[in-house]
Amino acid sequence: MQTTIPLIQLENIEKVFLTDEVETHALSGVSLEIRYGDYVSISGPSGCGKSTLLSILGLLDAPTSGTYELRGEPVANLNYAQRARVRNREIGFIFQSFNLIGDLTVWENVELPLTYRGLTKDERRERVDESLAKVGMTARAKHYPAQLSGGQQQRVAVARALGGRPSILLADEPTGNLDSKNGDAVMALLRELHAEGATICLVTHDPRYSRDAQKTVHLFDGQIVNGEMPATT
Amino acid sequence: MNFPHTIWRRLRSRWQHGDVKREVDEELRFHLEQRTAENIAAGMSPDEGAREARKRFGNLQSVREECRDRKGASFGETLIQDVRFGLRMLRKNPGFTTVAALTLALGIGLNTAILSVAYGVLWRPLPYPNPDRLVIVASAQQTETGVKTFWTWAPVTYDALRPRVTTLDQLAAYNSIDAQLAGRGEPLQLQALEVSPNFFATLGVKPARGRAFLTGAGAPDDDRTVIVTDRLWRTSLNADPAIVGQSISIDGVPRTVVGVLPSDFSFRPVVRIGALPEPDIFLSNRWPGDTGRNAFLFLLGSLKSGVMRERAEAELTALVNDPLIAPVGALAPEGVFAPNVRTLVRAVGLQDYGTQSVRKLLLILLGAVSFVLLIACVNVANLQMARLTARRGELSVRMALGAGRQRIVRQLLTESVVLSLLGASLGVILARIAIDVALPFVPPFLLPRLGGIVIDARVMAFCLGLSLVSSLLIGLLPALRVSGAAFGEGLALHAGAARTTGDRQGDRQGERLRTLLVAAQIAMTLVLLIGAGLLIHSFVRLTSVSPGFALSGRDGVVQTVKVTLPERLYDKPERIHAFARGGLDRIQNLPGVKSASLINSPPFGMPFIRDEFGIEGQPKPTLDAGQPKIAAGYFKTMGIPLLAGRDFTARDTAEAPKVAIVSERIARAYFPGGPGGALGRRVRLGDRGEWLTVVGVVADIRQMGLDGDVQPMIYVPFQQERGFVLRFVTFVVRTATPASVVRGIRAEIRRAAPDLPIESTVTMDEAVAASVAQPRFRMLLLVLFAMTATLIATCGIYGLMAYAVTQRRREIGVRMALGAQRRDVLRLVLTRALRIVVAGLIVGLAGAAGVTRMLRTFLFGVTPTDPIAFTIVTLLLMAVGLMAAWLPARRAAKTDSMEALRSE
Repeated sequence: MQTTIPLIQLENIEKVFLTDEVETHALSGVSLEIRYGDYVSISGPSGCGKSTLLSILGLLDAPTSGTYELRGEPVANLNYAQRARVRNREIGFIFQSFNLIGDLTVWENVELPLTYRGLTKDERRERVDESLAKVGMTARAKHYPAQLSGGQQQRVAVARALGGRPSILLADEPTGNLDSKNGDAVMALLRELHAEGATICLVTHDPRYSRDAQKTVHLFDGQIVNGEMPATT
Repeated sequence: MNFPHTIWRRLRSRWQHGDVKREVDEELRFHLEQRTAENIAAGMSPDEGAREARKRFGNLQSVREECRDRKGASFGETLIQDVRFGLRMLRKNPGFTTVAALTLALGIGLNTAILSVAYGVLWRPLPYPNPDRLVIVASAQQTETGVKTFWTWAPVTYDALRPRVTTLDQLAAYNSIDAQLAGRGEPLQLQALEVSPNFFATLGVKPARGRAFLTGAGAPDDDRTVIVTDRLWRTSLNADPAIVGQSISIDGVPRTVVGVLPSDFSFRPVVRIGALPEPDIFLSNRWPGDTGRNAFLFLLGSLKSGVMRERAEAELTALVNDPLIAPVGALAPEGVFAPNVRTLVRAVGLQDYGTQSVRKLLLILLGAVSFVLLIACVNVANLQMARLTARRGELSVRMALGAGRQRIVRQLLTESVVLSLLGASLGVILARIAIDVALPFVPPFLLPRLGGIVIDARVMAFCLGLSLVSSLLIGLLPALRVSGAAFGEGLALHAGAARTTGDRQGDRQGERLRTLLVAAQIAMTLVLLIGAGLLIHSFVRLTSVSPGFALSGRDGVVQTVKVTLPERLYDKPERIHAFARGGLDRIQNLPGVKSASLINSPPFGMPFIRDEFGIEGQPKPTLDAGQPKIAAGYFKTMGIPLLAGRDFTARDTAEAPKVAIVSERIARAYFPGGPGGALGRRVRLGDRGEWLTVVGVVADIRQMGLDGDVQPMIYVPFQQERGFVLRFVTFVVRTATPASVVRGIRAEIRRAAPDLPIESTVTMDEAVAASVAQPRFRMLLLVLFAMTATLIATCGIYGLMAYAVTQRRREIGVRMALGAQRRDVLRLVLTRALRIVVAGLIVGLAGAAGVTRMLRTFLFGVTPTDPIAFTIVTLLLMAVGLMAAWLPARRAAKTDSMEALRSE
């Protein structure tokens, strides 16, 4: 979809954690814009605020201050139920540790976020089949996560993220628990999805993978220390 | 939107999914077209207008999904998914499922069993067409201490009231008597009810065969007819289809069977001491010759439709206080009611009247099993909480993927419902087994309406309700935890990775909650255990009371054999004397008999007549005395010590001087100088009897039960008595071989009177045991419930400590690495357990001090705050709690510090 409104617009985001009367500034004055079809990489050392930023981007957490607009709508101060609804429809998550539910089959795992919407059974079936086909896991639909390799589990996680047809895929160290071969395969899958038009935001330590992104955001001590914006393709 | 509408919408959507989808699509299309039309009207081109409308609408698919979700299109499907997932989780965790389901099954099963008993006894409608309109009519007086009620009436009063009362459709009378059936195989002792002819019309019951008694004036039924129950018809009359019109011998008198009652007919006469067995036969009677003031009839009324009890009571009160209608002085025996105080009439519902002796007990038992269920639910909630910690990852992933908290709560509650229904199913099976196994052992006099105790649709509905309440109880806390701030969707980012401060904070909250739950379990268990402890202590006190006669010992046991001589055949005292003398002579010569005698009213048996007495030269005594008629050798046989004077002998015949033996209580109360001072003095029974010379003084006994005071007694030689009370003959035999002696006595009685049935053959040990059957029954039940609760609570403590030890394995490893000894670790875990147990005990003690007051009427010799029961039970539960914590503590003490440190 081409429009002048950015998909995500963060302005001066602050996140402060209060524990036992100690203030920890996880993010300070973070501003970021992600447009439709962007591939953004967020990197930085441990404890720099990557996960906090991803949590805020994914509406898993709310900023202490600042504005966050998703598709032009302010979402920073949504209540819990509104956040869950927006998250379910707009955001696809890919976690480092896959986070598949062990008691559900591959098919059911991919179906899971769709059950939280008002989709009919037929619609869900169509989307799950399509997503599994996209990541090449159709043959493993009836398997349980424990019966899959790490790489396969992460592909299922990607399929689960795709099934909801989200506006953006947020990937948190998606190769962190994989060997290099499987990691490369997953990253290739993300590249492929981006080429098809998906908007991706990737948190990674690995400079090889951050180079895939059009825009790289470096975080240090909760602040963006530089941002590059290569020419849009 | 209101709740019923929401439910209806969701239910409708379950069946009309396609309609909802179509409806949403149509509605969206309508709004788009409207907006497009407005845009065109505002000057845009059709394409531009449509594009602008779509843009304003945003993501159409999202809006569509949202609308469908709001219309509830997916409710049914997600419910099925939740149920399926719940079942899968239960299957995958067989250990948890088994423990949780069994715990719930115990709680729900006990509740179902006790409720089916309580419902069957207290609340199941009586098997008559209008059970709510049936009342027992009693006289009463308001006294300073409350209402004093007298339940029986003299026939003259009944005759006066029946034709005059207008608020009742019918007023019937009945009186329970013994009767004997002969001529149909082995002679049988029967329970009989003498009833007024309108008795069955009052109940609204018609016989299944034949007819009811004729009610018209001058009806020919009196003294010649009988109506039999279906049970007697099947067991003793061979289910003869032509029985109506045949004659059977009742008490040696031929009576024509005019009716057989329906198989579901039930009527349980209740007297002051409890329920009597169901009658086998009904005899019509109008008590025509009884014009005295003896009040022995129970009155059963049927309220007219629409008439309130109060109105009937007012009318009857007016009638009984009208000296022109009700004979003066015939309302109750002299001394029962105060003179010059208006007598009231009470109309007590038949059902309430019949069950009042067990109402309080059953309600207390229901309360006790509710506690057990609560403890079970708390235990399962605790298990759920522990499981929730293990499922944090899964649930936070669900949240991250868009499941609202409401949705997660619904899923958890659905899983709880599935678990509860499983527990309830097992519980019903347990209840069924418990009822089938236990009921046959419950003596009928302990519980009226035993036949009404079944697990039927109502009980099942209650069980279902109970399981739903249980599922709320066990699902609510985990659900609340999920709703808490510490349990967030953000945890998904860390699921499977190292645990965060937030995780640990959440764990700590969960652990605090679990600790509270276990302490609550301990508190509730202590209340139940103290209740059981009080009943045990009370029972011990009761059974350590001496009845005053010797029970089984080296001399053997006292065997009793009771017969009731029919009035028609034994209408003269001489005949009774001859039967008794002859029978006793032969019994004394039976092999194995060490001594033998007889009495008309043995201790711990019926009937027992107590009356006033007089002492020559003294004012009228304030005490009443029991007045048993005994043969020589009674005291020796019973082991009642003779304190002064002599026993009766064979020479104390009807022609000999009239003599008596008094009990120690009378001797000490009225004769200075102790037992010896009574000898030679004269007493008389009643206020007009013959003077009897006291020839002996014997030790006191308890006549009616161990919980009663010793009964003042004046024993009279059987051969010197001439009243109707002689017809009740109980042979007492001291023997070491009771079974063979009973066979011998049976044979002797059959030889002397072939049609005379043996009414009962019990040893005095059995009679005493039967007298404490009710306290034993309630003690055993409460002990069973308390043990169940203790078992569940013990599992709770064990589970909590085992879980805590697992959670703190690393900490324990660190402590050990820093030099902690095993005993230090042991102390660490046990101290924590002790704190929880003590906290629970303190709350439980406070609760028990309040709750046990309800047991006051069931206690003998102990107070509701009996320090012995409180102390022993508290220490016991503390010990049990520490034992439950011992295993996890031992495991913690064996922790390999290096392994523990490496494991995280």
